[in-house]
Amino acid sequence: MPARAFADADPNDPGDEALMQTYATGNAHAFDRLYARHKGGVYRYLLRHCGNAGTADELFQDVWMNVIRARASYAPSAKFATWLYRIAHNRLIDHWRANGHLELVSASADEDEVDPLAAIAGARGDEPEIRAGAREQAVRLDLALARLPPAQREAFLLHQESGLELAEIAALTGAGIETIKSRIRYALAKLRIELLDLQ
Amino acid sequence: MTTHRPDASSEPPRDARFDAAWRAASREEPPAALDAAILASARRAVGARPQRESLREATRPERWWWPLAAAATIGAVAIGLLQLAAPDRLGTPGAEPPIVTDMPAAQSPAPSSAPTAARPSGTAPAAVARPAMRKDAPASVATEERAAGAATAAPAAASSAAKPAAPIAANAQPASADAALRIAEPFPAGVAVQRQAAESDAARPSTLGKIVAGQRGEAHSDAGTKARTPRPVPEWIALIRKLQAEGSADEAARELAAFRAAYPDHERLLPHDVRDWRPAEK
Repeated sequence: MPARAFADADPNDPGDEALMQTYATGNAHAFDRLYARHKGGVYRYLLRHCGNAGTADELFQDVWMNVIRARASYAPSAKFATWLYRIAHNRLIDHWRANGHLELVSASADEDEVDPLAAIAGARGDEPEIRAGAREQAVRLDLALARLPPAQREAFLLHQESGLELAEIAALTGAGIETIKSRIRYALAKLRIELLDLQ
Repeated sequence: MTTHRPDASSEPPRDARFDAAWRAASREEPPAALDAAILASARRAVGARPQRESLREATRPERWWWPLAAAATIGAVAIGLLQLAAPDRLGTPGAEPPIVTDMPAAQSPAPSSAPTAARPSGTAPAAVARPAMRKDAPASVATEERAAGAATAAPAAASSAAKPAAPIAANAQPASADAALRIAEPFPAGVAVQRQAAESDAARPSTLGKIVAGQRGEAHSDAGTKARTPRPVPEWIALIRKLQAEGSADEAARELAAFRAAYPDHERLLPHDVRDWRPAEK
């Protein structure tokens, strides 16, 4: 479920941007609340991409450490969630690059924009952890996601876990809005088949 | 040819059944040890102690004026104290700082007796104190005096503001004077001198070495708030492995999280088995 990331959802509840600014002034309690709102979405976004809990832990910690380090320079020119997931997206790309998963392959036919994640070939479909998972649902979910093209998986996960709007996902990934929409549609069509019988 | 341009802002249709199935299958959360490590890092970064009051309480508008009022009170007291001080001390170069009573009174008749009694009664303070400061004053006093004189000096006075402190502070530790030079150099003379002058009030009875140590201590404590002193990499990895082998999964996870926080290039440093390890599911 997407985290509550909109400042106007409850007028008495400070928005993410206000919390981040409050944290930058030294109030650690604001960070606690911000973290509680977004930790699940960011964690699952990373976990679904890399399929390995240990790696996801590591990337997750790096993302939040970057948030902590950047607190002083944070300016709420965009939604906090957009900024946060951009950090996560970039960290993921760095991870793939560092581990040699980034190969130069052409994006699928319906995707003419360049998204670095689109160039990841077989990033995780063959990882044994996915097949050896303990829980059937999680394993099937992972397998279904692993079969998606990376760019579709990226668009779908950002849409499903972050609560970002299409335009924000498009800006974050460097793709067009229509491209993002079609990626999500394709991903949904494939995952629907896999997931609906889990109910 | 007709071009179909759907509304770019419209979201893909939501499927309630699919969303429910997704939420049921995708519920993972980060491990508690990781939560604790990140939250602790966040607190350390802002130097915060554990807070009991809520955010709303802390940011209530009626409390905003408290720090302002405290600062105004402190300012008023400081101004009052300055005005109470002797006028000749404030403006004239030969003025005597009040701390002269704490100096080793080499010029006084009984140097080894009580230092606070060094000022003979009825004697003009400047007349006694001036020589004492020139020869035997602790370096902090000499520095303060020099800072007062040099505050408006040209940038060329940078070296003269710092270097003469060494001979004057002959009784102080040589390393301290050297450190003072090193600290003063990166700043323009005015900045270095003002920094010393500002700090000399708090450090009045101490030596120059103590001031420098204090400055260094600040720098160290700043660094210390960012991360705890890291263990050497091999030792730390060995510890994590040992904890894993002993079955202390929580401790191993804590150490692993701390390692990652301490070493930004942990991805390269950690062996695969340690990097990919995680505690068993509860």
